[in-house]
Amino acid sequence: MNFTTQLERLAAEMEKALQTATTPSSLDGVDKRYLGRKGSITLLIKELTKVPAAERPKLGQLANATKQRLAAMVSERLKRLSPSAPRQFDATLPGIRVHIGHVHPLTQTIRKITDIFRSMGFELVEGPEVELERYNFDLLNIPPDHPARDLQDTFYVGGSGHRVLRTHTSPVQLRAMEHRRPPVRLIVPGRVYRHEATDASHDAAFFQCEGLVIDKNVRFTDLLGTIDDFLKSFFGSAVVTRAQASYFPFVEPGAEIAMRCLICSGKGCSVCKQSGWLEMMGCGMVHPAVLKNMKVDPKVFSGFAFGMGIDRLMMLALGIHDIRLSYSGDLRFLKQF
Amino acid sequence: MRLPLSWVKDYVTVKLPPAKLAEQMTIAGIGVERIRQSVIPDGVVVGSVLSVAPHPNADRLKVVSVSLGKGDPRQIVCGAPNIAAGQKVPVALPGTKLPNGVTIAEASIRGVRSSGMICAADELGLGDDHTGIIVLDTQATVGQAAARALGAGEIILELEVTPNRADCLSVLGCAREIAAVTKAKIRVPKFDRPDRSKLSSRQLAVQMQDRAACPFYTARVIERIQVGPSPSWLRARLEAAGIRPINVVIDVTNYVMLDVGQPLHAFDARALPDRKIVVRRAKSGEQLHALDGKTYPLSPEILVIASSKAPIALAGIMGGEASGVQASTRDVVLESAVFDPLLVRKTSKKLGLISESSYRFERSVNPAMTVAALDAAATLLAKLAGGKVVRGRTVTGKIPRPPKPIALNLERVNYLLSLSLSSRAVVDLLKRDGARTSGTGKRLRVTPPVWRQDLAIEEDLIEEIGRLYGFPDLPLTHLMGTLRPAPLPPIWKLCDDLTSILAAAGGVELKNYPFYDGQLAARLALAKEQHLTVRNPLSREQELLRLELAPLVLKKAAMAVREESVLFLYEIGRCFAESGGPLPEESDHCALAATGPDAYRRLKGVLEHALDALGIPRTARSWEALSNQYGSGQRLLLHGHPAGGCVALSPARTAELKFRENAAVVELNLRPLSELRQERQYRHVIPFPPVRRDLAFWVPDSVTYDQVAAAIRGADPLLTEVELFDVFEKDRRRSLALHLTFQSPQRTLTAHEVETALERLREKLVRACGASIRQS
Repeated sequence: MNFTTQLERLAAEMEKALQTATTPSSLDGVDKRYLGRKGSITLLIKELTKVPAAERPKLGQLANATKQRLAAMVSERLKRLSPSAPRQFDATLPGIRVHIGHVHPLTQTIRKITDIFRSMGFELVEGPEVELERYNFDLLNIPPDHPARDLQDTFYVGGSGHRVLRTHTSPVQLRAMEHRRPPVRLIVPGRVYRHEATDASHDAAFFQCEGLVIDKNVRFTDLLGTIDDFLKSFFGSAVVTRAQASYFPFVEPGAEIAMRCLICSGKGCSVCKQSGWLEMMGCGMVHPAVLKNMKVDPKVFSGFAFGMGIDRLMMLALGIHDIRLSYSGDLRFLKQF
Repeated sequence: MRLPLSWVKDYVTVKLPPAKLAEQMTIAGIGVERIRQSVIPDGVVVGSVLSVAPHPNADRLKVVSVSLGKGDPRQIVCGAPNIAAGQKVPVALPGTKLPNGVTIAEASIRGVRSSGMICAADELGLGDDHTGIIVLDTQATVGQAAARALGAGEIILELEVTPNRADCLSVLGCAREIAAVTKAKIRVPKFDRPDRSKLSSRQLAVQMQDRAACPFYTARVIERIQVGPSPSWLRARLEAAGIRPINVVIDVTNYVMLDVGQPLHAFDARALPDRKIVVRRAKSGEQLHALDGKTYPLSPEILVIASSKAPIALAGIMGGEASGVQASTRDVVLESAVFDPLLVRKTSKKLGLISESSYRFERSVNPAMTVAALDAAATLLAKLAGGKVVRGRTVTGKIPRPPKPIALNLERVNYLLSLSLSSRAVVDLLKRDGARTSGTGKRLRVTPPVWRQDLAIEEDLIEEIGRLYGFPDLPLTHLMGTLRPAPLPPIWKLCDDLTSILAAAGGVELKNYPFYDGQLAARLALAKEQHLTVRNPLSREQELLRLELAPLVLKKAAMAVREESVLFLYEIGRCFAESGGPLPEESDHCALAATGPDAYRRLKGVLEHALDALGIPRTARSWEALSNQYGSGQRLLLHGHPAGGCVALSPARTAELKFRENAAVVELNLRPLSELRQERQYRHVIPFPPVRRDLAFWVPDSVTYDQVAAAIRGADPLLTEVELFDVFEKDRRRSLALHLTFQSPQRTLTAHEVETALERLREKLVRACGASIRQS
């Protein structure tokens, strides 16, 4: 083995030993073992005298450089290990998380919806969840014993009077118009009730957001434009909406707004029942009979109304497959939001 | 409504593929929920039943010998009650995969070899019927694939017909709609009309006692018929439309009803011994055993068709069993009438009885079809059942008048739809609907077709114009108008702010159903009588409307604590209480629940923090002792009025709710809070440094922190802040450790001043609270 190879091997050995030394005294031991008076590298360098004179200067230089480098490493390590040295900082350690809670995804969805409509000048109003049949049905052009009542199965509340759990937030429009005059732009978020068996997409109690606009010269196409704007704000600008004729007793013309399925982009999937479209909300021009019930003259004013299921919007936006999860109190669900 | 496409094609040419047609119909207002298409595999062939023998080892099974034309007869085990020798039936051969996913294999059923299966409708994807096997037409060729005989390849649209569109509850009506939507031509069928004369009263006399309930009644008599099964084409059509064939008479009435929308009813003439029909209100105490096998008690709100003795049918809803058509029936009375929609609906609701007939009558039928349907059904029945239509029909009452013309303002149409249609274009669109128009220029008079009773006002016509023009083709426009500030309702703002505050404090927000069951209320000792009840709950959990949020929040906490032992959950939502007024009192509440170490103090701290953050002035708040059904703690008073409480759950409740940890709960009525909120005011920062000292001492455990705080407060004017930072108990004594802050707004305090003040505090604590000061 020649001198250079031996030197390199010893230097590598020493470097490794330096890395593993964790106290100043063990470091000192390493230093002595290699560079001390009887250290292995010192002894090797002494061997240089036996080398032919022609090679000696070059090898001497290498030996000195190596010795200096190792000595510098020793003092560097020693600095690190001394108690007064600044600690080695590991920036890759995980951050210490702040423990804050979780706002329910339904609440977040309600905020998102109301923020969009408030930015368009809509006023938020609320109303009672236990309603008189008169407000929930009669004044909305749904007379007693009319088949249209079948569209909304109803919970009845005990005690005196004809009280129901509101089947939609529409009665709040009537209440709001008891002390407002056009022009109005209202939204009514709130809980509604349907006397229906529950499954993954139907629940007996859920949230709805209803809207009402009354002014002079409100057009059906303003309704379509407003809903299109809303859905684009909510789901993103790629949204494509489509109006379909439909029937709700309190509007005429009545429509259903469908949105091209977000999951399959209209190709057809299980979420949109292969149709490529998702029905998002019912809407229409407020029926003249309802305007009259609001003491608004249908010859002077026109208006539109719309109503959407908040749970459904939430489910589509967040990819939730079962409406009942919201009400389960399951932390594994709630803590995701 | 199930619409077989082959049937509707009798009246309209459909060029679009089914999916495209479905989309166009949906856009125009008749939603197509599903397109059904049956494909019958080739392995299903026509078999002829040679014999039916009982199964030796099973009462309900039969061993059937079936000929498939070539080869030896096959032995098949079959459980259908309706199988009989001589029938032609669909036989699935071993190896065939049926539309319902089942693959048929040679099998031994209870020890008897069975090579194949005789199929019911549901097994072939032809409907939901599993009450018996399908019996094919006798003309079917044995051994051939059964697909043709089964009417396979039929495409059926399942329509969602809204209550206003009663006209689409018939094939002809749907054909009209398809024609209007796809710009196709409608081919209205020519209905057979045996004659126009009046029926002799010896044949049938009708006594009308309630004109309002039955504006029009007509009937015919068909003699000497033979009641048997209908021909296969008729049965196939009924089955495709989702109606089970029964016998030729009932099938014909159902067929015509599906075809043109007019419900019909056939009575066995033997039920009318004196050939007299009375249309009248039922008498109290009368009852009717109906065709569905149930007996219905009658009352004067109910309109019945009666013989001279007793009711024989619930008018417009269902016939009685005694007057029903049987195998032995020879003469039938066929009824076609117009009944008051509201009355039919009321009766149907009252009796809980919905039929194809009542469903159509309550949505109102096309009165122009009443006579045509009767004539068509009579003719068809005579043809198919070998009978003879007796000359003439009874006519009682008047056919309701057709709809009145509606004034239509073209400018309004164009404004609302943002279009610029000419009057010509509007007339053309309405013509597709079958409406007649008169007038020119900007003002038109539109007479809707008689079958569109939903078209009554200008707005209805505007919808028609819009939907036939195409809703998706309308431009999208934007609202214009006056914009004014619209502040949030204070209670909404409060709830929203509180939601954020509690989440920031580490709470997980819950949403619970607004009802709970009586049992939960009972377990929490909440009186059931205080609650509003739901009269028609679908489950026990919907029995009571919530009086408070705490019950369900605690219930959920008890469940969640199995996942995480240290919890903080909250809910904000509406609660209900009887008010004595027409509507109950509704108020928004907030409930908090916490589990784990110091649950009570953590919750109380959150509550105090939340009240601070909401800007509820401390001066408005006070606390008093509270012991309620949940446990004991403190009640929050706002200006002396109770607003809620914070309670450590008692051991009894902890056990009842199956909590594993100690728990605490807060219930807060938010309504009084929103009026008390104040914007914060800046307090001048004192430029002189505060001096902080700690003080630790023992007090007997009978001394409350409130007493300690009261003793310290006001003890020295320089003491500006007191903060408890440690507390523990030992040997019926409690150690309290306080951070005390001394500060003067006028000057820097000297050490001597602070020491003097501290000494005064120590003395006060010893004197007033029996404290023993701990040396630090």
